[in-house]
Amino acid sequence: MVIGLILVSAALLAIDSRLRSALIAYLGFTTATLLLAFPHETTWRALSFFFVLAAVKLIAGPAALIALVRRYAVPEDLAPSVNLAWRLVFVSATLFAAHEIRLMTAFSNVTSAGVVFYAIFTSMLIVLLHRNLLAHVIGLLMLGSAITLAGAVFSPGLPGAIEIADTFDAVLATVVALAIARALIAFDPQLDIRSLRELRG
Amino acid sequence: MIALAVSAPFAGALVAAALYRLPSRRLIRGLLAAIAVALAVAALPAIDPLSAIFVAIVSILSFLATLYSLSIFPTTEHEQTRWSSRPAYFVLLGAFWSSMLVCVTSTTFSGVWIGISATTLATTFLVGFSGGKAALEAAWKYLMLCSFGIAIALIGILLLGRAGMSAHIAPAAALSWDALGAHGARLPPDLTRVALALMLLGFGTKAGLVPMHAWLPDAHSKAPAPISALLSGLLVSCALYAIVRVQHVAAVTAPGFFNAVLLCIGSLSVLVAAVLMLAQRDVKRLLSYSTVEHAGLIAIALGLGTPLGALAGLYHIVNHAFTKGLAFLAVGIVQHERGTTTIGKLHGLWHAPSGKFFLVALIGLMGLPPFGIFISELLIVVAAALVHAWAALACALTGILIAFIAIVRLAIDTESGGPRLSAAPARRSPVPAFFAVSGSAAGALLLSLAPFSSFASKTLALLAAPEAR
Repeated sequence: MVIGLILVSAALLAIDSRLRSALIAYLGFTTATLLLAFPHETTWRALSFFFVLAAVKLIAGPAALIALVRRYAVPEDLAPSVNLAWRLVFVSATLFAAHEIRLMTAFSNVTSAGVVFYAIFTSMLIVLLHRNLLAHVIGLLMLGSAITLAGAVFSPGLPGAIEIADTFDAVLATVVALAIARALIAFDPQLDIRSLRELRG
Repeated sequence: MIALAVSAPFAGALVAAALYRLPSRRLIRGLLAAIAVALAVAALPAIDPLSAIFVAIVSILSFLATLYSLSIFPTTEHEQTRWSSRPAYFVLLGAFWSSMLVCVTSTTFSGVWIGISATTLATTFLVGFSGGKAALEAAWKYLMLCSFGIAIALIGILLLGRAGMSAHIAPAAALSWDALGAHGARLPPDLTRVALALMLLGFGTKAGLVPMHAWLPDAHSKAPAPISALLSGLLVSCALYAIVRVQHVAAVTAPGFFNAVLLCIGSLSVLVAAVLMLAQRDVKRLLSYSTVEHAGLIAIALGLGTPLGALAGLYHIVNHAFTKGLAFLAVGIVQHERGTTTIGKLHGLWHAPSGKFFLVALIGLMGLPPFGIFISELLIVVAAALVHAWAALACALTGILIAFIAIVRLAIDTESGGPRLSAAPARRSPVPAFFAVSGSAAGALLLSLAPFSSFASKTLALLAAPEAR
């Protein structure tokens, strides 16, 4: 059920081009990954890190995105760079790649390795397949959730350093990404990566 | 002591920011930065030799960049960006300095990762400091690519931790390179290989190795000059330090595989960056591609998998850090005086002190004596020839030659011309900025003496040792 929610919401995020449905799918994806990543050890430290992560990813991040959209009248179209058929092909290819990775001998003893790689690949796909800056922020937030899931699946017994790293990354990356996105959108609310061509060459 | 040394730059920057309204704030900032260097020096005996080298270069170059920033503060183009203020700049610079120290003093991969990750977060704002559209775009590109890069590295670290625990290493030590190296034979080979490859890909992104280099020329060229100096001289070095630590584990688990990948990526980086250097019209952008080229040379040296190669690579990291730091700081002064870094608009720089420093930096980057880069490049070539790595050697030599041509052309274009051709500097630079540049120049020159000290005997001993061949 939870894994199904990850598969469907991540695919929806990559395929759908509307910000509203992308945000709903993002919330579904993040809730599912956090459910899977709930700490086995219910120590106060593990729980506090987990709840900080959950608050950033489920409340602060989406709230900041909505505030940006309302304040700067950012277009709600995520501006996909390829048509729907190609997006479906890319999502299917991601699913296939994750399935093949799960079959590698390196991951033979890791349950849910395929789901982790699917989550990572789709978060990258969202950035690659969309030109809107907000889609990139969503992709970055999703990547953070995918890493949390990777930590829980790949190395559940590792000490707190990984929890610290994960939380630190999630909190600060969200703040930094939103701050830079806000500054860019303040220049031009219609700005997307088609406009960001000055640096190429 | 190490914790104190690591936190001192950031804590000092916070204290200085709190005392922002005092008239002697510049002096306070300078003193606090000097205290941070003194604490780092005091902590050196407690750190292992490899980390100590990196702590030393991080502390010296960061201090010089702080000194430079105190005299020539970067200009801002857009007032609305909230971080484009003087106190914020120095707090971010302090955070950047501290996070690099976290990276190079950690004894586990998770610590290194936290340090590298923190550098991304601090430097994103520094790259976009001017608030101009191009700088913000560069910051955005930098954040996106490096976030994905370090995420991939973290996944590699998680897998390596799993491999360590499956080899019955205690969970608390499962991410320590010493423990992983000691139990290397028991690590599951397939999982370890995937983990090492992901870590190389992730840290390689931060080191600007091709094909993960796309962020580097933009970020390094759009950042303020002292930040460019630190990004090129130190941040790339920290990422290469992480790769050296990964190689420590790879040496006992999958040496052939890891070194082959390093050689390929290094060779590709040297060639691609050297060719792109020829096409650049902006001085800072050309220097940024030069950073990619040197990172590639270091990757080749490490990928040779011999003690001499490792020594040459390490020596090249230190040489490159000082020389590139000098080059970017000198360009910063040129930009401050002339208001541009476009190659076509800069002529007759030789007639101004800033132009003389810039020429010194260019001679260093050309790989000419008496600079350390000459000796370290020679060592890399010798190390490659000794193990018959002819393909890598050919790539390295071709890349060095093309980069040499690009830098000679840059030197002729910008330095030549009489005083009449040279537009008079719009403004003069303050003396402390020249202290910072002189410090980098002294470092770049003094390092060339290293081979004539104990370094030489170590090199000769390694050359004589059978494993070096």
